[in-house]
Amino acid sequence: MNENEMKSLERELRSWQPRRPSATLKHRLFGFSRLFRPAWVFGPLAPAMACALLTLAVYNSGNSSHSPQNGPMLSMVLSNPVYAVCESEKSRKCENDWSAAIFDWTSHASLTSSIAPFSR
Amino acid sequence: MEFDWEKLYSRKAAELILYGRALGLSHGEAEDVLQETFLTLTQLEQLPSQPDHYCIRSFRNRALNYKRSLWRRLTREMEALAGSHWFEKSNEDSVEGMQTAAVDCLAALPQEQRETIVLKIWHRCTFEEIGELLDISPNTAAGRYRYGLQKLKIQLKGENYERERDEIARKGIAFLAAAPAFGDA
Repeated sequence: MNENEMKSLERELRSWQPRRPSATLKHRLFGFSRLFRPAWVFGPLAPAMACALLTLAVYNSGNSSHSPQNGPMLSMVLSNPVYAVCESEKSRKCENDWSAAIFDWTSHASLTSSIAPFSR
Repeated sequence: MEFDWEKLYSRKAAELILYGRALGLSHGEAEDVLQETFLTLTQLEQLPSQPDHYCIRSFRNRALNYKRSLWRRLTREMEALAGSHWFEKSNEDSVEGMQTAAVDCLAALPQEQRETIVLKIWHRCTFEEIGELLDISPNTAAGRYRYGLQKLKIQLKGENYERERDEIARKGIAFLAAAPAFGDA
């Protein structure tokens, strides 16, 4: 067999596609996770998700009655998480200040008891 | 270590299955060996310098170990009787006939010639690489390849000759059947 015949036979043989393994083998080896990897899912959807988040943020800030006051505070809290703790303590103070709620009447209201107070 | 083994798998899987067939495995066995090989490769802590060649060598070692079981040999022979194909089916009848003949011829070749042909043609290995893989000199690899290919050529020539002869006979019969009867003329 001369060189040309050999080359032509090689070309012919090479054009035949070897039989592929079953598709399940690839899934068994590499799993389905590659189909749902973040780069594939979030890549094309990232702009849409960003728009949706922005819309929600704008919509919520428009509905909130405290938005003008919270704006600077929010940015401050975001820049330093310690402020978040202080701020939450401050906001809770008036709601949960039981001492003020219980003893307030003693300062302003008149006594309803007929018994005279001890300290006279 | 970051290497895309899946990409390598996509590129080499079919060729490795064919190599498994050349080493005497059935298609199912070659798939099992392929799975074992890639499971090991994906768990390697250090990336080999030539992943492609490492993969072929690893597949070969496993395939040769796999072949030794008697039970597997029996199932392999049963599958061989069922006539499982080595290549993707072609739409052209002539190519398919040629493929069948080539596979019959490849199967009849000694294993060392068969695997050299598969490595050279479908894995595109050089004779140096084949020699390194099989622990032989590049000249020996080249000799095995040429000798095997020569036998293949003769076999395929015979197949072509038989096919052409059958075709002529079929055409002759069709012509005679279409011709008017002798008394009608």
